[in-house]
Amino acid sequence: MTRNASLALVQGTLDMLVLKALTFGRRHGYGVAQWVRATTGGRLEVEEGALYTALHRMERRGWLESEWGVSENNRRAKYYALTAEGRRQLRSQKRQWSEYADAVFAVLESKEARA
Amino acid sequence: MRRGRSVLRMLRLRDATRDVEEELRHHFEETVRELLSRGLTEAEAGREASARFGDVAHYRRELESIDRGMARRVRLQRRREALRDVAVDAVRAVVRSRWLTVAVMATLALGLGVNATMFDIIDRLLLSPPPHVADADRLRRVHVEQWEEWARERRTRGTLSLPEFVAMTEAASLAGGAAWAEQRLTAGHGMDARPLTTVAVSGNYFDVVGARPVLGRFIEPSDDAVSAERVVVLGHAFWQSEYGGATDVLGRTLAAGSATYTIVGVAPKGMTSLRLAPVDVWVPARQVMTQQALEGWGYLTFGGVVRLRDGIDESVAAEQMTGVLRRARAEQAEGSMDDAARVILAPLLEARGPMAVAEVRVAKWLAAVAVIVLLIACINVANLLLARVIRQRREIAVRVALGVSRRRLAGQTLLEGLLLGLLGGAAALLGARWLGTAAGRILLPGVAWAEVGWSSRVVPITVLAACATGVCAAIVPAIHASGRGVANALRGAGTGAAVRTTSRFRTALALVQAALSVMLLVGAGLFVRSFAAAHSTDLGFDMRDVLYADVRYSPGTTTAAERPAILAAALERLRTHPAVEAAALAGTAPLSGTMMLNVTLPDRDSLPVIGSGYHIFQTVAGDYFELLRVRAVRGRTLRADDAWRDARVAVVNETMARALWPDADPIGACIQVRTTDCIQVVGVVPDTKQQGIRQQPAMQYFLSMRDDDGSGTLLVRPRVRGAGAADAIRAAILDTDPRIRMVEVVAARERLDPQLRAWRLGASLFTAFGLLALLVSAIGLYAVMAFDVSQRTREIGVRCALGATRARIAGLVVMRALAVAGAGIVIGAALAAALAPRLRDSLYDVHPHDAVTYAAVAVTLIAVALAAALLPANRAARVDPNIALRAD
Repeated sequence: MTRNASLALVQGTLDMLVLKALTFGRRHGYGVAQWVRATTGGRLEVEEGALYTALHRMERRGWLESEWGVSENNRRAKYYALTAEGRRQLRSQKRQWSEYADAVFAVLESKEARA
Repeated sequence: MRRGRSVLRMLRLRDATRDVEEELRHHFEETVRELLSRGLTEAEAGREASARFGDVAHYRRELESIDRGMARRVRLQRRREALRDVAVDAVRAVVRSRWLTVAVMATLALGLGVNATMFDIIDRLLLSPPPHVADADRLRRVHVEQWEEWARERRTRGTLSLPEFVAMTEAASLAGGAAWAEQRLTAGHGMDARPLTTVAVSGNYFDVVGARPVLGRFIEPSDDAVSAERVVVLGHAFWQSEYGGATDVLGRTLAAGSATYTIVGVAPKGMTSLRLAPVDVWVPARQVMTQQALEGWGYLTFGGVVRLRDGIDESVAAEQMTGVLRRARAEQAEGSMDDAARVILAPLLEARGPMAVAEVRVAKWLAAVAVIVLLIACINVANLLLARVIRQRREIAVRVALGVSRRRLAGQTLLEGLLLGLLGGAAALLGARWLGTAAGRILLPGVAWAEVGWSSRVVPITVLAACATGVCAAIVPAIHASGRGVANALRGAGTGAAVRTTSRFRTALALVQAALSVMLLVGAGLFVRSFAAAHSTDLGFDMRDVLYADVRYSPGTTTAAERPAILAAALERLRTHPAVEAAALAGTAPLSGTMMLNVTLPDRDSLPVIGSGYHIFQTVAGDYFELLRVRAVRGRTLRADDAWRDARVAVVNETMARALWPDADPIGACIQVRTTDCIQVVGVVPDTKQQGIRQQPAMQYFLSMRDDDGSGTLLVRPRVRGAGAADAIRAAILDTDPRIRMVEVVAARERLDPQLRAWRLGASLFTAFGLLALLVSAIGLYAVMAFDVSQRTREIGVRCALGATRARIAGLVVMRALAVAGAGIVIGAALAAALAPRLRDSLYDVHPHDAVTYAAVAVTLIAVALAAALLPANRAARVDPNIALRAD
């Protein structure tokens, strides 16, 4: 895959990752970044700036809502949480991704020369 | 809810930068802290954090832009919601207070309707070009100003002779010129004969005007030749009524006048003559007009219009045309034509040029009056709205205390005003639609009002005026609705400062209304007196019930020499007709123009000059003087057997008798007309106003008719009035001779009416508007008084408790009304006195500062003010002090 195509793919999946990160409760931007790094084990190269862009964009679309609060270290931080719409989006994107993955796997594992 | 709060903060644009800054700062702090705890140095931690994040500047910009967009969208949405809320509240308020809405709508409909009507008329007369004229501001109407011998002064005329017009249009700065003459062709024969309103045009008329036919083609230059095939273009309304709008009408023939014409085209709907008169048919000039009319330099029958070349100024063109005209005239060297003639180019619309009729001036005055009426109506509406706001002050105070923004309250009132204005405007347009055509027909009947429908500007202008009026009326109420003086209202003070100041304001408004009404009524009064004076002017003869009959002959059947005999025969027939009381023949019927020819006396060289120095003369036959009920003061009048003799006899009027024979008896004296033959004077009659109401004293004489007097009009006084009389007379005349094709019978009064029209209009419409203004003002005054009384019940109760009698209380209210009326009269009269001199030209025999008029208006206003104060005074007197003191 070319670099551009991989970036595009990442943007779509980035949204999914962020949404997933917030299913366990509200987090601030740094917390989301931490979670993504920990969960993917460093296997996915994600620029943290892109994460923040994703957070703000999804807030504009109404999938997230934000609120200023106090962090664990007693610092002012912006917390994000899923909205109902956000949850719906996560479900639908998860389904789409699964279907896509199934289709690709079907192709890769096919043992037949013809259809 | 959480979203709402954070969004509220997001609303402030500059915080977007700060928020993003803070968010990213937190991120970096935590990242560095984590890395430090893993053992990196500060520098290494910083580098690693940056590397993980990416291009900070780029991302920061992106984040800020996303946040700003979000804030903007939310702000817009909130504004839209607020506006919708206010609009809904306004609509609800309008629907809820139904009576107020109806009252306001009615008031505004009156004021706006009157204005829409007048604007429509003014627009059509003065502002919009005649319909179907292309590029009208390059067109000019041609007038000639020259010395007129008969008036002994320079006069401007709008009618030209064709040769002089053709000469003028040689000027290089013109892109074309066309002439037209309004004629009446006869179609049909005998009792079915009817006149066709015809416009005879030069070949290039339609080209210059720039219109396009709706069917077929227009007249072209090749049609305007004597040898060309006779063609005619139908007017749209004529086409509809006579041919049912049939599309196969081209090629059919139309018999009119002495010839048959082929129909080649139909004009578009609403196309009128350039004087805005309706037209039945258009024909080429050379095919209907006599040789004399086409070639005579002295035959002033045509109107002329020229199209200026692009970029040429009107004054340059006029100068060029003047030069060309003078040169052409010098070459003619005919008669007493003045070489200092000047061409004047005026706007296309006659009402804007030098020949505008008096009615146009009246129309302009009426338009101004209409605006004043609207102003008065607007004040009433303001008062009504203000009164409601005052009544609802508690409610408003509560809303303000609950946190509704003042701006929103004011905005709601303004929006209500706008809504009410629009409703009133809609009602006004509906009314004006019908009223406009009717008013136009009354004002200027020569103009084709019905054909054009509505001027396209009336609707937008009226809507604009409606919005402006509604909003203006609502301004002061809106200010009060925003809750000033709230604290007092909540505390329950009955006569809070808010009520007092508005009371003064409302009284001031009532005063303004009174003053304006006085002003209008004075104008109306002056016109009424003018009309009364004009109407009762003694013309010197009795025209009531008299009919004029004009005879038209079938072309080619009679010579000029034969016609007098035909007329004489017709006269005799009429005199012996059972339905006729008296019949006569006159060279020119009274009020239909005058002929002037000076007499000479055999033994005198010079004669005294009265007025313009011209002697008006009239040839008569039959029972002329009996018919008009004119009695001789000396000698006798002309009798039926004086006519058709070789020797004429004459009767002179008193002015002539006094001037020419001051010391002698004119009876038996000789006068000479054109020849040296002695025409004997047999009687003296009182002065009559042959020309009309405004005629100045002049010398006039009457001659008995003779065989060589060519034409004349028959005058008939029927025994019984009614339409049957006209038909009987027409039939009798037609019966006399088969060569008579058509007889036109009109009531003599119709010749007088146009002269009175301007004053009648001024009187009736001014009075109507003035009374309307007075009614609206009276209602306004009543409302102000009634409302005041209702707000001041406590004060009244106190006064009662302190010993004031009921009569005294009522007296206070009445005095207040009289004070307003009095002040209004003073101010209004002063305004009227200042402006009335401008009316001078439109008045007849009345001084602009006529005391009777002003006094009558003052009395009227006082009476109206008393009437308006009656009910409130009554109510004030009946206030029960016990209830009043306890209340509130």
